[in-house]
Amino acid sequence: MTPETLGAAAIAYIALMFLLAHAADRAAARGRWRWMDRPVVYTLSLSVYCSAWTFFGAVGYASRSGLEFLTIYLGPGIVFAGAWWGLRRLLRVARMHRVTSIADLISSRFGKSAALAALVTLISMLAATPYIALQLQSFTMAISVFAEPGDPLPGNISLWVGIGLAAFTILFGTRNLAADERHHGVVMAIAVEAVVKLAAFIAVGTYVLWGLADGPADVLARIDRLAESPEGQGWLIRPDRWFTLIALSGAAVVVLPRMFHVLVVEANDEDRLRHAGWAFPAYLAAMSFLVLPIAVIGRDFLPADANPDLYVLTLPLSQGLDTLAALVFLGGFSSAMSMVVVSAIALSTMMANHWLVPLWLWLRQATLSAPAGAQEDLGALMLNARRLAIVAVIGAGWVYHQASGGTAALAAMGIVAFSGMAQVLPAMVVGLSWRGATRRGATAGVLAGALIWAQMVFLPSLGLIAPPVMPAGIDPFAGAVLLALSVNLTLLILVSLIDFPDPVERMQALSFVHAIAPDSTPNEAAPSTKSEELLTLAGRIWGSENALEFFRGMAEQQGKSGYLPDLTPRFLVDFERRLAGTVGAATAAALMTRVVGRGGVTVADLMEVAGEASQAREANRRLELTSSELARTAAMLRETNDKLTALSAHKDAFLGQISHELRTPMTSIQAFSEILKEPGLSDEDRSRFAGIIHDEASRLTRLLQDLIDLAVLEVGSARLKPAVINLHDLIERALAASGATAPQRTFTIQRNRPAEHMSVITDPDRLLQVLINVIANARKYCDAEFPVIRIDTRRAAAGGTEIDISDNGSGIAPESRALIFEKFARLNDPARAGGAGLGLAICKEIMEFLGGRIAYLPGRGGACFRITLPARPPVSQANDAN
Amino acid sequence: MKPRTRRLFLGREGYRRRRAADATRVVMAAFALAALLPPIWLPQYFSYALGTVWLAATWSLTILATAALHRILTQPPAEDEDDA
Repeated sequence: MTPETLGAAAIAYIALMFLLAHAADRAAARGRWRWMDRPVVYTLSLSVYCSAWTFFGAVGYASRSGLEFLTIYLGPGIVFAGAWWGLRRLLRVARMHRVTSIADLISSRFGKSAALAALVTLISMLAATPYIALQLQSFTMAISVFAEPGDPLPGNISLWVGIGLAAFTILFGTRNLAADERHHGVVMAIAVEAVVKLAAFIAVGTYVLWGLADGPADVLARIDRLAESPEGQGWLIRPDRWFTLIALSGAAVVVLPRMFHVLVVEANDEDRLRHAGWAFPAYLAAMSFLVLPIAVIGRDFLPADANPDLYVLTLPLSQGLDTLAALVFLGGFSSAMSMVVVSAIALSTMMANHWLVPLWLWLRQATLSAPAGAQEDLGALMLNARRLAIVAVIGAGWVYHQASGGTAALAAMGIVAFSGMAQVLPAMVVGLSWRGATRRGATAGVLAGALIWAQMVFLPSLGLIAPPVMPAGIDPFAGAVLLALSVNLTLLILVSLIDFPDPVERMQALSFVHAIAPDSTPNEAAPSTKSEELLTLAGRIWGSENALEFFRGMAEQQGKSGYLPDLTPRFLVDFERRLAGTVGAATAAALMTRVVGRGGVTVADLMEVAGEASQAREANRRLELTSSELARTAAMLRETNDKLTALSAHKDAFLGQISHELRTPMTSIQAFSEILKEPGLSDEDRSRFAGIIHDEASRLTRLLQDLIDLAVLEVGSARLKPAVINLHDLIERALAASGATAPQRTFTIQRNRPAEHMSVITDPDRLLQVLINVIANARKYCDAEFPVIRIDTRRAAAGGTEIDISDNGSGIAPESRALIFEKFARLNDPARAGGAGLGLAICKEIMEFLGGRIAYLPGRGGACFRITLPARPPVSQANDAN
Repeated sequence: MKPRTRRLFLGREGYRRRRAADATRVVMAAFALAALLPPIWLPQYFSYALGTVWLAATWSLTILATAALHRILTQPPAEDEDDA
């Protein structure tokens, strides 16, 4: 087995993971992700805790320090035994606030503080860099075991590994900016890797336990014999380290960015903790108790100068078991890969949300709600910020690895990372259990703790400064960690006690500590004119389809049709929370303030909320359902009433209009036919008058045809003639036919021709009528200087087809949108439109008849109509046609 | 604010579920004590084979107990039933 073969195997393995992640993402995109949303996948994904440090380093750790290596697994074991009690609350609160990372959780709890989020991100970044370097290092070390002595490896292996992992992370970690931070493909891949590493470790462990040793009793006997040797002194448990390390690892399993990501952010519900609560400790126990035989037997079987960190590879190799060694290598690679990928995703989300985007917002005081097209795509900016951050995170790890260059400094890096991230724990635990904890308290605590950690643990671990001197008998590491944590906690409590938090902070504190959904304050209602601006903002972050979907859902809940809900306080809170699920709480709050221009919440508002809440609590509970139902009905009634009032006015106007429209041609036909009766007319005049009579008669026929069309469709006696047609051909015909409208203007038509080639089953003549009508309308009403008509077609998620026809004019005013599809409604000057105002009404009837719909899309700059066709036309009518 | 309502008294099933949830806390505390106290108190005995067996045994027991308790928690919440 040569390093080249193993390198090829590693590449093949990464390729396999690419395929798996791709397949899982595709299945998820099609809504078939139930099977990967099982508790077992969740539990396996938690095993990202076991990085290459566990896989290789634990054996080395055990052979040097004995049972102390177990502390790294006992801590999580204890925490998960109480998962149902402690972690469930955390998951519930985090899901309620759509938390995207540990930094976001802390920031959100302490008044959506951007500074605190940036600080936690910095600590996470500092702690993770050496940890990622350790993964690259372990890969290089592992592959070098297989090299022939005197045959050096190429120097840039770790660079290529880093590039490969960054590519994987960027491809599957930043595909799109979802409204929640879940990555099905990545989770599936790390679940499979968890199985690979467990299988590899169990294989080598069982082989050592029963193949090389004589079972557990033999190993225990060897351990006891070792106790009497001088090395046995190193195995003696040091109480201060034992306690500190268990506490640290218990904290790490929650607060390490990658653990927080898989444990909290990727969790779909809190119920899965019931399985993970015992299955994850079982996984850890299996991994950790097999470490001991490998360490003990390795010491007895291998030469004294063999590196204990690599026993797990060198033991099978020394027995000539190349295949087992290769499997172990892949297991170690799996651990390194999943750790780096998930860390990079978690850290890049934090860096993008808490460093890059706030910086960008601060640099550009741009209006965020300008119509799409006039502004760059915020979503793409966020994704690129994340990609950049991924490269930065993995790149920093690689640079650190190159700079440190040795294994000695790296071995302790796992614990250094743990102790750094543990500085976030007091803020998290106290913040979730005490309403009195304040932002200033948390900042002071985290900052002081982090400084002490940097001075006494982090910098000495790099060899930059000397380790701290502790009184005799106290372990320097344990002493430093306990000191940092105590100062951290003390400052948090003391500063909080004398502080007076601002109202937003107090609202958040209440919501986090009592796990109550965040609510609005009375002055949060915003002018309704802002809702289109919010839609534009959402469209620029989530993509306009997702934004429209969300807004339509919210409008529906309020009992409104269309895409623009009223800006009720409830809607604003929901929207902000949803936004926070993508960009983090602090940035979401900043964006909302910028677009909606909300004033700050005051203490008086807070008191009002509290007062009302306590008085009306019981009554509210009973009335809540009824009143929301009533509100919905009322909103619907109001909307219908407005429509009816406007329609009644229009109807009167229409009757006048229709008589006028019918009378005018009749009068001219009558007059000209009178003239034709006169003798002595020249042939030329005669033919001209006959032409006029013909034109007027045609106009009359057209008008009558429209009225008959509408009547037939409304009564439901129309017949559907379904056929399979190519949408492209239909659009071509529609464009040609509508070219006669406003022929003097030159239009730029933007289309995606290849995408239009899709077959649809519908009544082609009817659909053509709708297309011609909408395109002709765009030609008639688009008031841009250089008019552009854009046609987009796509398959809808539900299986139908969507056709968007938009122009770059000034669009339709919000107050008129409710009426455009009604009969007799014509928005502007009749003379200009030259019709009876039946066009869109007929379109609407036709689309309903075809089983689809036509709707006006707001927030697209100009006017935009979406025609939605079902996958198949309605059955009953089709059967009638047969 | 949306009030959270919690029944003051529960029927048999709901009562059992609550106690099972309590028991998981007891198991956690017991395991924490078992993992921390003996090795800190008597490191000379618990640093070697005895410690290995002790930790393996207590951890396995904890995992089994948690699994059993979590199975009880699986049953659908019966908090709506009348007090029996």
